[in-house]
Amino acid sequence: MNCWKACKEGFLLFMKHKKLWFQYYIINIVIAFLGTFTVFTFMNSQFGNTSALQGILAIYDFEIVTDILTNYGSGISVLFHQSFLWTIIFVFITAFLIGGIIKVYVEDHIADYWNHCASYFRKILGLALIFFLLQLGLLFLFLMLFNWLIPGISPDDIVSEVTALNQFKYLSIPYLMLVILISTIHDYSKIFLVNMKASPASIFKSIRKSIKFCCSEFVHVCILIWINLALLIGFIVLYKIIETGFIQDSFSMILLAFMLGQLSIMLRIALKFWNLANISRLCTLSKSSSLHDHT
Amino acid sequence: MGYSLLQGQKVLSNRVANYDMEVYLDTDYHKTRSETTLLWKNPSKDTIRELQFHLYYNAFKNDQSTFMIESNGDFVSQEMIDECNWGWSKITKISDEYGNDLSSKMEYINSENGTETDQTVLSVSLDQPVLPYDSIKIHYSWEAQIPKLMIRTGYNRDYYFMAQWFPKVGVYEGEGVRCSKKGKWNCHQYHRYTEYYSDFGNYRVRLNVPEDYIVGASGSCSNIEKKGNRKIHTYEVNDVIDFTWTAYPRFEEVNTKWKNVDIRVLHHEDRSCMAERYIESAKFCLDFLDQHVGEYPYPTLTIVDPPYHGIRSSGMEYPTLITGAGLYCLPQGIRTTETITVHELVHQYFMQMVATNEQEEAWLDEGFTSYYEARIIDQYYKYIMENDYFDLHISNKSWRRYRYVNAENPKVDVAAQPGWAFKHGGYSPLVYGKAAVTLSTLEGILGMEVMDKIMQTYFEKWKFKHPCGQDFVQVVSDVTQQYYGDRYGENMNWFFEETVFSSNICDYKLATVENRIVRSPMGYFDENEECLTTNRMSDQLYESEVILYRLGEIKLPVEVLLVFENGEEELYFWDGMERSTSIKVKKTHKVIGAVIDPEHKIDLDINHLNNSWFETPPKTGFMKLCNTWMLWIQQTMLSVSSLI
Repeated sequence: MNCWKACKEGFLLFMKHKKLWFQYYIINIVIAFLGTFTVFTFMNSQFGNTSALQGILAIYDFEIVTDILTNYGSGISVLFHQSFLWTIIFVFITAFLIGGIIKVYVEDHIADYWNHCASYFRKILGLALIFFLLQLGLLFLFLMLFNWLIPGISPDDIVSEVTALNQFKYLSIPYLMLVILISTIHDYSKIFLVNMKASPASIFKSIRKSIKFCCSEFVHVCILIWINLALLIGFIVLYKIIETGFIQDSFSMILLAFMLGQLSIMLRIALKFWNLANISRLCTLSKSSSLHDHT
Repeated sequence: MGYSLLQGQKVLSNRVANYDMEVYLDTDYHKTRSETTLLWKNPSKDTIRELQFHLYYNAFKNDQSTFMIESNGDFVSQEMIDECNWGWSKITKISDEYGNDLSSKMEYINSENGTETDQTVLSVSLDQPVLPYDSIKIHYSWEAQIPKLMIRTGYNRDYYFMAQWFPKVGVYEGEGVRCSKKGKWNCHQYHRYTEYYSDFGNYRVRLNVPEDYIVGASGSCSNIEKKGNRKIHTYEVNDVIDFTWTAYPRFEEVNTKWKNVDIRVLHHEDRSCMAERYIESAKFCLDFLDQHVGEYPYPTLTIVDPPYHGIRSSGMEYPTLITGAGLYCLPQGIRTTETITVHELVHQYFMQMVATNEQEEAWLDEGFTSYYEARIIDQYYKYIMENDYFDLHISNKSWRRYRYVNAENPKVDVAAQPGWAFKHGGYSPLVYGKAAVTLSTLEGILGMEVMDKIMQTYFEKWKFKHPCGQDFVQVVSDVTQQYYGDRYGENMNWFFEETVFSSNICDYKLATVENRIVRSPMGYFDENEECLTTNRMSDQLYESEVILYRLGEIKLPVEVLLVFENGEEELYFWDGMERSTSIKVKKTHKVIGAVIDPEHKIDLDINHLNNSWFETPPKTGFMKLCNTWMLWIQQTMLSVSSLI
């Protein structure tokens, strides 16, 4: 089956170009470090000479958290806003890199990587904006439908919360499936987009091609989605099981937790990149697809 | 009046206000009609010429009641206006046992707070005065329009929760009761931020409801009689300050026992998953209170889990009946249900048995209850919110403190004052939060054993009576004297004046530690003609100075721990009287760190982070925080960038 072959070849491709993975991880950790450094500097200036934070070692003692938020809340608020800015910067860097990364996976060579990054940046960003709006629209529809199905959530509207919970549960399943489907179309659109000649209509053309491809290769696409989801969930569960076993009460345990955390970030990025490699291979392998734009 | 079921029971209170009621619930028009006989005993040496009644339902009669004006329209919905879902209560006929018709002698008293349109207090002049320690029987017919459930009471669809639902006689406080110098009626209007205050008595209530309704009420059900398509449930309870009931056709019930107490849980059919959580927390709470405060003397306890459409009646306390707050299969790690159950159960002691005035001194019940809620929940469950996945562990005690220290303005007002005096907010953080934190600070200063002794003494002395704040302070002073003599002064008034009777806050700070090497004297001295220039050091002798600040106004004694270079530790004591002070020590090793209140006894301190100073402080806490922050940023960045 194409999907298994795509998986296998995708993995080899991912491993072959592991520099891309490493590069993305480095960017992630450097930005996070900058964000954390300001936190450390702030905390150190406020209570660097106290033993106050020793109380958070076993668990995050709520009393200490309360005191930090109550007495240094304005500073913490600035730090949160700053983290938000770092996140936005990272999103733009991702938008810049992703076109080049996909091009490398599709063509299996790294030449002109930075050129590709630059040339697809705006289109990738545009595509992301379209799908972001689509996801927002879907969420809005979901909430409207939920609101329509139940008279409201106030005690004057319903007899039992079970009614609302059940409606929510029944609506959530198709909603989540649609979210995944839209994300999948988004992923395939990126593959088609980087293989099209530049034109103002190429974003919409890539979406059309992606939908067509997902329909014609529905089974294979679904299998890849499930593999990706299963790996992601399995990995998160495993990480949380290991992580909750760590009590960060000494330098060595904190170091171990740090390493485990970084390993989880690396694996999460790896999963993201492997998935991109898989779908680009599936597009290449599939007979029904016309990956390259000849128009 | 006959009290068949409970006749053999020990008399626990002075039984001032005793009611015998026939009640008819009209579910078509959401009304109650009743014939009531009140046997009222004059508890004072005064001759009483009038009776005062609370007509709490008139708070919901229109938007001009004191309650509604103080609520600024919070409880008036458009639906309420359109459908006219107001509530009221009216005495249609009233007479005394001598046959005097007193109907024309009724008058609303509404001078309080200048709200002249309020009708929640009714005065009835008596033709036949009640002589000192004598009694009078009053018969009255009354009816009430039940309001749509808005706060604590009312109906919603077919669910009825009847609290403060009948014309209830106020409290006549004779000289000496609650520190009063002169006998007077204590019968306040219904205010937005006040609850209730009433006298002890016996109740026999016959509730006539449609036959498919399941009824829960204060006390025990002694009889159920079928009459056509209706049933009459007879409930009896002795030595209580109130009577509350509920009726709902879709209640399911679970019965269990704790010692000799019959526990009955009433819940909506969808909420069977919650019953065990109510029972477990109730039993543990009763065990705790039995062991640490005193005996629960009633034979029953009913826990009502209001259905979702009755949620506005949840989280309230009534004698032998409490309402909880459940939600369909609420995660085990979120212990709201247990917390509320424990809180309302503690109220059985503080203000149901030790019947303080909730309207004038709410801190004496809500503060006490919040204090015990934290002790009980943290002992049994450890946390009120717990999730390993999110590293979330919130103890009840820290949550309680958070409500106080994180208030918009913890200095906005005094905690120990009437509910209606809180003009600019702060009722909840001060009455619940500050009062509870004050008690845990008292526990920290005096120790758990002494604190338990104080509470046991207070409960034993004041159960089935009406104490005031000063009565509690007196008990604290007496017990502290027994244990510590004059160590904390002649009495403990100072502690309460600094805390609940003031709007002050407490904050100590360890400013810095300075170490100086002790050197031999230099310069000109009379005994030497030559100038001494030798910079001789004494053998490793350091003079250390630890500087402490009191940033807050509250003056409380604190312990200060000094840590020396060689690992040695010494505990010092600061009375906290000055705004700043210093501890000076001369030792062969320098002081490398100091901590104010190392055991966190002073819970009132609003910032524990500034309580220590170390030359080279341990950094592992910082590292953990930074590690968490960094991972959080990394994960957030990856999650958000998945939109690309």
